[in-house]
Amino acid sequence: MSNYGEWKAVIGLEIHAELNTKSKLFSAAPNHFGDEPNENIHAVCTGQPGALPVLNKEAVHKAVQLGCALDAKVQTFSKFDRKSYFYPDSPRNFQITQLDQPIIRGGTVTTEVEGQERVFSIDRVHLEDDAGMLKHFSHFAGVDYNRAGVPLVEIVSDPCIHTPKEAAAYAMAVRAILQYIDASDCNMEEGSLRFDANISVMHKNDPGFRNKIEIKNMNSFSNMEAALTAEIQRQIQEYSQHPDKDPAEVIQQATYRWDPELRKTVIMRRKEQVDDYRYFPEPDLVPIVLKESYIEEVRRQLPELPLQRERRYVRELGLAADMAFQLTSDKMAADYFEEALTTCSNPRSLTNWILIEFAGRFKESGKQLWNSGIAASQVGELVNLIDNKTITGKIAKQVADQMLTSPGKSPLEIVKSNPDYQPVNDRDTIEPIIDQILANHQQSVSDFRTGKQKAFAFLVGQVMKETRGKASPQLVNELLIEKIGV
Amino acid sequence: MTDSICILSARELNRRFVEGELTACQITDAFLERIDRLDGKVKAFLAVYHKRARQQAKELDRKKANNEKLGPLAAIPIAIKDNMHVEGEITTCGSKFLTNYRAPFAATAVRLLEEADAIIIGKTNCDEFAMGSSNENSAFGPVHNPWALDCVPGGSSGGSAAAVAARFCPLSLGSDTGGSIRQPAALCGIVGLKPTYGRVSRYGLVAFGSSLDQIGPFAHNVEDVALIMETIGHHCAWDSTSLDTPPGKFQKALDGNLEGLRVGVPHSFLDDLEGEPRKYFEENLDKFRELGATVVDVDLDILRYSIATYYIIATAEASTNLARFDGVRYGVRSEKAKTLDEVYDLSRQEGFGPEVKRRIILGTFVLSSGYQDAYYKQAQRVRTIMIQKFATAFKNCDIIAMPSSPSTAFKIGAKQDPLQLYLEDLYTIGANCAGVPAISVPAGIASDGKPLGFQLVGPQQGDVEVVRIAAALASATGHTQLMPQLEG
Amino acid sequence: MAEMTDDEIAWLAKLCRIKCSQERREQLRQDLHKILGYIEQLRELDTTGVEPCNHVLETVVNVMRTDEVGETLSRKTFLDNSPDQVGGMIRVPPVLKQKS
Repeated sequence: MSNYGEWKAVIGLEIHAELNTKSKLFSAAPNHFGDEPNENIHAVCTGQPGALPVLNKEAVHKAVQLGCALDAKVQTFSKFDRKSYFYPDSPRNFQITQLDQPIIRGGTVTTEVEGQERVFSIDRVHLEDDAGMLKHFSHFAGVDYNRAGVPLVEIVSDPCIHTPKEAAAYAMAVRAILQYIDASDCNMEEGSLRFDANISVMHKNDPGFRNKIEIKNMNSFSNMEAALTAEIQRQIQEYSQHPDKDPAEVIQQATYRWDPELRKTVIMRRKEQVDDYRYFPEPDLVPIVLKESYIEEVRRQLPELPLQRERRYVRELGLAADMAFQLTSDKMAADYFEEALTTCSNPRSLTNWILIEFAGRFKESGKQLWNSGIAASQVGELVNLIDNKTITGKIAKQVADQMLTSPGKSPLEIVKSNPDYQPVNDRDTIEPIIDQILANHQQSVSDFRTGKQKAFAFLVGQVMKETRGKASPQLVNELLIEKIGV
Repeated sequence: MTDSICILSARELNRRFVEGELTACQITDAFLERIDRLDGKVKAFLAVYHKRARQQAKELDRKKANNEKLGPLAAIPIAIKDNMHVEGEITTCGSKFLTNYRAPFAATAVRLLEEADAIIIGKTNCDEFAMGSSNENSAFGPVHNPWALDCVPGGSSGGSAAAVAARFCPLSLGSDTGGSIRQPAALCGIVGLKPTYGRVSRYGLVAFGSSLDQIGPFAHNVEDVALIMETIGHHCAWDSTSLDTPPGKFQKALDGNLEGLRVGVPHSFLDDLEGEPRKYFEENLDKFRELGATVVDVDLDILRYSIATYYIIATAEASTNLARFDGVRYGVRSEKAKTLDEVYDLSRQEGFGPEVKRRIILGTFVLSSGYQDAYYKQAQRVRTIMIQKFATAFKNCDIIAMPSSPSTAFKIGAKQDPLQLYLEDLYTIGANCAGVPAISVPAGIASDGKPLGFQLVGPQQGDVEVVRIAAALASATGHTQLMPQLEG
Repeated sequence: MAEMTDDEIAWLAKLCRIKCSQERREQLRQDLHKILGYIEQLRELDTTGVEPCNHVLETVVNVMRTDEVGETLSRKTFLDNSPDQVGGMIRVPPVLKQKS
């Protein structure tokens, strides 16, 4: 399973996802990112004395949807608790969260890790409110409460993850589910999806777990993979260097963060006795009591989930499993694909263009096809142009390049406006070229006559080269066969 | 002239205004004048809204002149305990920490009063963050009992009780977490109601013990309590614990009929009640019997544990409710603070008084890991038993009678030991723990010249019935006519 | 009830950010000792099988609001109450990165 010799990594992920409700979890302030500081605030989410929380129904609904999507046990009784700690971004100096009676228990996430299907188990999902944000300056800090009170779901996995790749795959699958049920924007740059990991390593002779390290705020899938890889190495190295020491002394419980510049995990603080959050039931809120019939109704009305869509693509569209997986693990990609599919009827080629051709072209910029200004219908159109032999695959690649540089312009327009892209369809232009080539390559002609298919392909290639890829492949075929006379 | 206005009940003031016998300005000026003249002795007010009140009064007189619709509390001056928000005004909670905090919104109860055309006349003194039973824990000095100026008015709503007793206003709002309305009402010889938990919205009430806090009124008489409850008892969408039933027809229910009423008395629990408090308690029970009620025994021995239970739950909740007062967002940040730690530590050290600190530490302790089971959770289990015992008791009776306090008002400074002060609330705390309504009505004047209270406790949401029974009893005893002499 | 030690009080004080001078701490220790001695009586009650009270009004559940943006707190009102501000934010002394 892992490549750590006698060691094995044990990883649990805590994923915080901001729910994309209109208003905050406990107040009517807007849930909106990117505004001026302290613009989207309310007496409740700034901790004004006398203000009281009132629960957002839609946040509960989205949590229940998530529970159903994870095939988890949505709890018919759940409640909120106060978690106390002092920090300037915490407006009441306690967070409202769910300790012992969370809204969701259990659940699984099925996804692919390096081509293999894996099922990850979830311990719980609970609702809580987000903190505000601190802006650090050299001599002071500023506090902005726009984010304070934004609804969060915290999705806590079991310690069932054993490699950084698995962790990333699991996290991507969770993101996909959140996107499919429209529970979260999952925008990692804006912090609407955040990961913390608990990680320890285990020797094959260990009777139980060793101390775990918490790694905070790995803000991308690649950072997460890098951080976990580095941390596993660090722990194994520490234990290996001190084989005689009590393992509990070698690695002590602590919180680390990933430093992307140093490319290593850096200690933030040790776990001390002071970490006493004094959880107790939030007296200002009443319990959430859900009817089984309501939960069933939500379950029935769930939209198609990533795994279902993946299987449908394989079954109905004939996509290769790994392509279908890749396409469906980002809802934006899959939706884009489906939109393109309304104008084009070649799903395999379309997938190839979306996942390989265009993805490759966007790799450097960090942009994605679906937010690049290139309409899905235009990618469909491009595939159609190839399929109806208007252009060759080679020209299509140049057209695609141009679609990137002038987004919004349709492939057909691009083709029309560039004489080099015009397919050469008339017999009179191509015939002399073919004659010339046949004359120059007598050997190939006779090879082909004796059944060597390769020789034919070579001749086609020569014609295409001479016409700079513009000749209609169909016409070239026809003329060659006609002239060679087989 | 002014004092003859000030002794009128709220209902009478409203009637005279509506019928054109008095203008709102006359009424308001009379009360403001009396406050200005006499509150130096009582110190019931932390802020008197001369301008705001007069403006409201003028507006009311205009409305009246134009024959516009008038609210049910039109022209009644009402004082608000200074732990509730009047929008745009300072809310200190009796704490140095909040001396500069301007309320960004109105408490629902205050808003409802204003919408009913009441005149908000000022803010009253109270124990810091409502923590206390004598009003001595106010950062702004003690309140003096209008019956004996060297004595406490009770607490924590001491200012609101003293203001009504001194006829500075016919009605006021207090908050009651463990007896903070009923005990001062008793010690000041007036009526005070703690409604069912959730009957009056807590939105805009600075929280002390969230699961126990309840806003309620003080008045000279029970009828005025009935009047104001119909206004402030409405459901509020901003308080999740607010009852979504209508407030109830308090005034209509006032029929004076106690025939066949079963009055429960927890005799065993009241074993230690002696001397005059016992005598006055029994006299009131006799009055019940005279009016056709029967007295039955109920078992509420569990209430022996109520103080311990209360001081665990209330302090636990308070330790988190008061965590927000850290000098970051509002309130007084220590000028000495250079680091973030100092902002927290020094602002809280300088801003909070000793009792508040004591309770925050105690609340932190009972919630801390290793102790939470033995203290906090055990207290919540005992609370469950209390709720059950009350429910059982109400199967055999309609109302439960208890004293409101163990004694009359004591001298300012006489009780230094915090635990001794906690014991003041022995008879009142049970109602908070069980969330049931309870009212204190005057029981008579003891030989030391100071009043005692008689408490009636009803089942959850039995507020209308509690007020109806209290009104009938009070009108039979006539104790609500008693008034302290402040002048001379 | 075990006597609360100076260390324990110091630890509690740190948790809840209530700073005490040495002599105040001693007074506090004595007060707390008395109060804890009193509330100790709860332990003698047998509460086996009794659920801790969650909410006094057991029938009140599922109080929720519809997901709509409503009245907000104006930044000015918010900042007017603040001890210190900078660029629309609450200003505090520099914060070490040691968040819980």
